[in-house]
Amino acid sequence: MEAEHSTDGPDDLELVAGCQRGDTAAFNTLVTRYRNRAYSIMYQLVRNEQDAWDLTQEGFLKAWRSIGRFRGQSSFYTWFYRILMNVGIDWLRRKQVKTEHEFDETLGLKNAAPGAATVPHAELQPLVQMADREIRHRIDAALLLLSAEHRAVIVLREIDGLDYQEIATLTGCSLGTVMSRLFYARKKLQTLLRDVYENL
Amino acid sequence: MKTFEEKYTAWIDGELSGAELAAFERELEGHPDAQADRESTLKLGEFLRRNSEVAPLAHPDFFNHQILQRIEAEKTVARPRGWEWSWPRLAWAGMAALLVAGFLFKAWIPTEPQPLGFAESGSEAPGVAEIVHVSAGDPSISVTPMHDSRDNVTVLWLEGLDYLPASYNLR
Repeated sequence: MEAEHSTDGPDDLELVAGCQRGDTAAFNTLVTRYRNRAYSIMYQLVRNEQDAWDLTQEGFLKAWRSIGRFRGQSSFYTWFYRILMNVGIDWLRRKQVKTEHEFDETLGLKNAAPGAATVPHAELQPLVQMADREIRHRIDAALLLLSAEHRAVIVLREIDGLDYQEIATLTGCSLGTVMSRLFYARKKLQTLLRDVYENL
Repeated sequence: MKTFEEKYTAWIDGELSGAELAAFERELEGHPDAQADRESTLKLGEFLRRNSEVAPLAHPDFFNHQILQRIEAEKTVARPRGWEWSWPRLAWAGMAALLVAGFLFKAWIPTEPQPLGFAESGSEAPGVAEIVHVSAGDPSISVTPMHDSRDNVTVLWLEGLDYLPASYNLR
């Protein structure tokens, strides 16, 4: 898990020590250092700018409130990243993004030609002409159909590039659970997006 | 013992090696589509990464400002520690209560009953006569007042008077 370390100014642990003494200026520096990356990860998870903004702030506030308990066993960013992921996953759970059709393999196949169940062509227009915005919408829609847990492992693995162990640490589950969730989440996304990514 | 799903995921990501990889590839011989599925999965990952660019955080300074504002607000509304009873506090409160009660008892409740008719400091109890002077017109009669505070009785002892006429003006 690569943290965005700034070469300027004090290192994270010095800033954390300042925060633990109640120094909000030190915390402000940490926020500045990690806000873009945190926001990006949160956006990948919730797929909405306003929600990502609010939830990233919530993540920073939770970090501030509990920074007294940070003992430095991991880097500040790893510690904060876990808080951030928990904020995002909890929010997704509350929003009940998980649908009752979680493993309904027929989703997205309504317009598929007979015999073409594994390569649904939901849009009849040439996919190579699909604008970036439409592609993003398709990805957003597909990710919204994943449960909070499945979405988290996909974002952490495929987009953020973390390894299994890091994902297990961040999500608080076993390696086996991470791999199993990844298996089902990928299968789901393949079903929903194959018509897009196979034809680009 | 890994499940098929776990091994399949690890195989796609190139995380299997050695004997484990060989064993799993033998297991996959019964799945002719596995290699194509692997390539498709890798393509999916690449597709997601390529389309995962997020616009940079808008108004980053305002983002920080809001966080700091909320921290300050939380500090302001943080309640002072509530009053907590403890044994020392209870003891002090009990002693204080006893002192106040003692003072009130001393100040408001007389410890001895006032003798009727004879206020100690010359003050007159309301509704009670006080004998200030006794005398008799007949020199053969002497008058002696006596007061018994315990029974709250005042007696006029008249020496030499056989009887007290009804018209006798006693002041």
